[in-house]
Amino acid sequence: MRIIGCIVMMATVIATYGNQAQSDYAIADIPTALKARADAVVRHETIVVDMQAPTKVNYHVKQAITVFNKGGEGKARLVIHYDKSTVIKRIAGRVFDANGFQTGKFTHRDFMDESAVSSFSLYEDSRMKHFLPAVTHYPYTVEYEYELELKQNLIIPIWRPDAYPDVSVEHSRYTFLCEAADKVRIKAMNYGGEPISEDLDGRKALTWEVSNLVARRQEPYSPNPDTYCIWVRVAPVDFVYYKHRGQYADWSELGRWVHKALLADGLTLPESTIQEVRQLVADKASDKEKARTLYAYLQRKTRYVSVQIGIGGFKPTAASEVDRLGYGDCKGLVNYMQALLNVVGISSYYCVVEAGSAKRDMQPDFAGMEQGNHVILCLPFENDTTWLECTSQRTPFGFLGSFTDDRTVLACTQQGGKLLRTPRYAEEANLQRRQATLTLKDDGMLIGTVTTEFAAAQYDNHLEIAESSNIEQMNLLKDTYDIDHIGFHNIAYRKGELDIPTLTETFDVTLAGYAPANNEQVFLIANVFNRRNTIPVLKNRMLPVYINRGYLDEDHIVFTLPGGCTLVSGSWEETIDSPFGQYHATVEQTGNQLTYHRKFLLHEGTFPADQYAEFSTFINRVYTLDNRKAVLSR
Amino acid sequence: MLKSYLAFISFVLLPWCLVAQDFAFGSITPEDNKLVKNDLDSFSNAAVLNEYGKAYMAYNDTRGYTELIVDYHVRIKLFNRDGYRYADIELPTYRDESGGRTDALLEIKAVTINIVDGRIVSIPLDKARIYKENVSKYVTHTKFTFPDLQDGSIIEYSYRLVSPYIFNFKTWQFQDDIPKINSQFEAIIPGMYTYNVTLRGPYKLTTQDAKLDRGAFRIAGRDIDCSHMTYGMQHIPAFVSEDYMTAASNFKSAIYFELSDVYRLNGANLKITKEWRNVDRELATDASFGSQMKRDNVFKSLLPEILKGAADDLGKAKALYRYIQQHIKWNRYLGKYSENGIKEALEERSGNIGDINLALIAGLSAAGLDAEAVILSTRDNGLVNDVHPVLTNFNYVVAKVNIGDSYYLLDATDPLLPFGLLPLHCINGKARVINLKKPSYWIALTSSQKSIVRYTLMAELFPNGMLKGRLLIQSLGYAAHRKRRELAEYTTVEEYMEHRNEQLIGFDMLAGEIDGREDVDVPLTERYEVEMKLYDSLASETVFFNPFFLNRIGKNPFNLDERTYPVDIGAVREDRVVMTIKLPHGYVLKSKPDDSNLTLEDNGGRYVTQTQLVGDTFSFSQLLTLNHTTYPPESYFALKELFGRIIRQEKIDVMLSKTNGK
Repeated sequence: MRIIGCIVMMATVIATYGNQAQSDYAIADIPTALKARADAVVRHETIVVDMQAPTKVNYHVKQAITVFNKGGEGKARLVIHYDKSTVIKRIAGRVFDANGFQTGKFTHRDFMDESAVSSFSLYEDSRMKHFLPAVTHYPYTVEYEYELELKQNLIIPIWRPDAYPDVSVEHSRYTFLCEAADKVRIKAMNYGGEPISEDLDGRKALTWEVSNLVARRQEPYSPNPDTYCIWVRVAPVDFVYYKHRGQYADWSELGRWVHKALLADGLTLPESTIQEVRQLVADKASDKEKARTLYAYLQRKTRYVSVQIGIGGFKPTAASEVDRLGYGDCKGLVNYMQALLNVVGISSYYCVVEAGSAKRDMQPDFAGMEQGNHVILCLPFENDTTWLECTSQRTPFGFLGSFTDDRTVLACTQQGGKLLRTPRYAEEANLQRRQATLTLKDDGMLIGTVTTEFAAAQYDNHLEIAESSNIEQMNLLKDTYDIDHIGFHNIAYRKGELDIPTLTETFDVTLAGYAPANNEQVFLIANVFNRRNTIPVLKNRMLPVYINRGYLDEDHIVFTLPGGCTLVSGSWEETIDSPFGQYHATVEQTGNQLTYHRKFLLHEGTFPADQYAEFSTFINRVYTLDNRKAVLSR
Repeated sequence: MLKSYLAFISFVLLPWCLVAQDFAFGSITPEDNKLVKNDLDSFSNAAVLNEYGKAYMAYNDTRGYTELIVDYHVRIKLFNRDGYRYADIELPTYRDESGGRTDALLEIKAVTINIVDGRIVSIPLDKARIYKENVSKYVTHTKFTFPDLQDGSIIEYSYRLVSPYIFNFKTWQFQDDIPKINSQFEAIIPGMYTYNVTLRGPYKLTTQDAKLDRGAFRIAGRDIDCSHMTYGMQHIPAFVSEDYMTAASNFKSAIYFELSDVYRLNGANLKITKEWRNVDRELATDASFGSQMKRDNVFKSLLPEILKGAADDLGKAKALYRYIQQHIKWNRYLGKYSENGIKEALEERSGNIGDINLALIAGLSAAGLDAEAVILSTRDNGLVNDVHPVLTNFNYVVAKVNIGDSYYLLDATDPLLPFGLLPLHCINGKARVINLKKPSYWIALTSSQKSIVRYTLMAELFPNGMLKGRLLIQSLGYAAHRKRRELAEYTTVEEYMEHRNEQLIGFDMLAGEIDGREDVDVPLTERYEVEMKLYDSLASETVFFNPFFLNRIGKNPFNLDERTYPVDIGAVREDRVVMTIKLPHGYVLKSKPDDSNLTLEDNGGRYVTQTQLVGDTFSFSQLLTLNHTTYPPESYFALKELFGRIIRQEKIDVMLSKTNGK
């Protein structure tokens, strides 16, 4: 072994010293199919994860990437995230020109070291090292080799060889090595075939590999990448994480461990708070009313501040600390709310969720600690399960917005973990209903009143405007109603306290010069406020069409026209019925009134790839009709 | 923009001088308590009740240099939860490259003060909840937030900063994005140091005072007298940032210091920055500046290859510019100084702004050309002081090459810039030209080229509403630069067109070619075969179509109700559209948009549209020019109105109707 090591080293020295040695990285060697529409090509990639012990997992990556244009540059940048449980053992690399001649090399010291605190956090202990080769000519190839030591095995890096759009893959290989006796769970998706299994001196090795994957384009309305990208997840049954030891083989065991190891000891509240809580709910009859009162107390007393250090990335700050500080992150605030509810004997579940406007489930058949990025609270009232988002001072009691709705989450309870589903709002419930009465002045100005009701997911979209003050509110309104020379007056919001929260917005509006006149004709786009944007027309749609969230919009506008004004472009009615939704719009004149009505319903769901053309035709037709002008003559 | 200069008051003795002093930590006044939202303005969610700072110097015997010590103390009221973000504190400290000299933050003290049932409750900050984030090798952020916030909470903190960086003393920001009721600053400066002091922003000092502190600075066993200045402002409005504005620091009220002289203990006077001639000399000999400019030997062996085929001086300059553009990649660091040295930059093919453009200057000189360095301040860095030489104002350097009677300003850090065009972020007021042999001088930074786009369409409209024709798009100056940046994301023209076709609904580019993608010194020319559906109502006797489908403005970039700062667009703009459309057989033109001709006063800009019908050919032209790079706030509404009129004009359709019997 030693001798081979020496020879390899010698070869490297000669190669870099000579600066002229040719490698296998000539562009001409790349198969043509991989060059088509690719910003970059992964020439080769070898990842070896060697679990020597739960606290010693060696992660060794060797890869080479050819970059064709500026768009592929991001792929050439190597970014390595690390923290207290990740040690960077070495990093090195070389750069090659189009003909495969080496033009440069770099080492650890060329990397920039920066903190990697997320924008939403006050502090985290995560850091990163990154490097981008200094090459001004495309194409070029960069080769990296690095080795990390993970001092934990709770989270094993996932293999995702084709995760990036516009990048093709010549070859990628992933090997997981462990002791023969180690129990590990493995899940592979979109990988044809079985891994190669080998016995290496009593240790077992599993290897997956792919080659010649052509670049996939980024497509709008595409489903969760997990459903079409190749990935392999590995989860050891026995694990160690920041001195915490545990084992799990399914969600139930993982949920139980989370509860026992991370939650159970942090639910104690100071006596004064316990007394205050008891007093607060003393006159409340039902558990739900009590919970509502305590939620208001939480919202009044706390705010969201994120600090993530070590095990604190998974373990909430103790309830007593949140009580004292008046702040915490999602874990800390949910845990605190749970502690408050415990005082009055209301049981609740600490639930891990993958939050974001895209709905993402926890993998139903593969438990893993790397899933989920947020925590919410579930109150399992009989036939009335209630969910609480604890990081917002604004969200109404029992409402989950589009950040966490309609997806499976992991409830971590004393009895074990279980997957629950958060509520879904029906398409029609995500309602935006607008009534406007506008008067058209001789100079083309529109003036009038607009009233709009927003519900469920659409409530979520507009809550921020309602809650903001003067200048901010005005700027947010101008972003929402992006019309030239718009003026708002008498802005008011009213919240509805129903099961599905609603928000009613009213304002007086002026739109100077909205309907210009020319040659005794007046041009008026009757759909003033709610025009749908276009979506790209794709020739070869590859992925299924995924519409994440459906909604219903209704607009009803009555224009009062100046005397003697008539509609010369004619009244019209258009109806479109498609698998993706319905559209109906009318324009008609009665006396000096012009009425515009529009109803647009979008369905959510997944549709076959070949229906994308129909989808884009539907949406782009709506766009055209939304912009249709009424031509009036005076 | 508004700048006034305080005369530097040294050693003026005012026996009756009022003593500014720090307010007591944690003891709030009835006024603090009473203040509520809207007392100061209608939009702020927090306000500074009181702010005090004191900066002075001390000689550190252990380290062997003079340090600046700043004591800072502030009290802020948070009116509501939207103001809570002012409770998240981030204090940056800096470290020099060697790590030897570092800022130190000491004695951080913070407290939340709440009124609970009429009683004052103070909750101090837990020291364990102060976090140090090592952002990069030069910067550390010390971060903390306040416990137990409620609507109306008062937060208060203080710290001491000990810094080796005495050059800018302490910049005191009177104005912030929340209003301040009172802000006081004391500067105690030993007699051996002289600073240029600048007050920026529109507001006047309400307190300004000077006295002498005898023997307040001790160095080498001697006590040196200090001048003790007090600056104060009261009722400072919040600063509201707006779009199309250059650096906020140009407008915010603040006091800036710049070291100009140091008197040595032996009586010798060390001029730091006093006159440009001193600066010139220093820059000329600076190892990271002048010395790099002089390293023409670096280019000796390279020149024959680079200059091969260059006929004249201009050709040589272009060849060198091209060479540097393509051989050194910008590492995203700014700076007027060379970070690694130009030789290393050339070898590593990577460098900061200084490395790249000083290398260019050295190369130009090596080729026998007359090249100078131009130091400037980028748009987001603010304007430079043109009264005193304030070197720290400058954060960028470009090359100036003089050929015959003309000169060219060159920035080789962006390979897509044509010769002679500076990037927009460099177009910012005045710049100083540094010549190694002659005195330095000012030049105005103006964009040497306009941003021009010209669309020419020759097409035929068919009865079914389909328009087919040839489209030519020419982009020049900044417009070409923008387009080239976009094109750089694609390997082939086909991929670019495919992407465009996906985005442009109803507008298809069937075939095309692009000239000038590689050669950035020529206009970028795109030629496409195009096809689009102009209207779809076949059945009716009359059809309408909108001729404003090329380069449509659509959205007014000016949407504010009030404006207090200039609108700065950087470069003169010219957009032109010319189209000739053969009308379909069997239709006649019934109505078309009236010609328009709108102008901004003082030749500030124009919008012109013209239509004409010759036989069955409809021709249409549209011109938008913005002739100034900067418009004063008074012109804001004229600009807004101009764009509003354009949008109105763009809504007007052409009407065709069927001819009878033909």
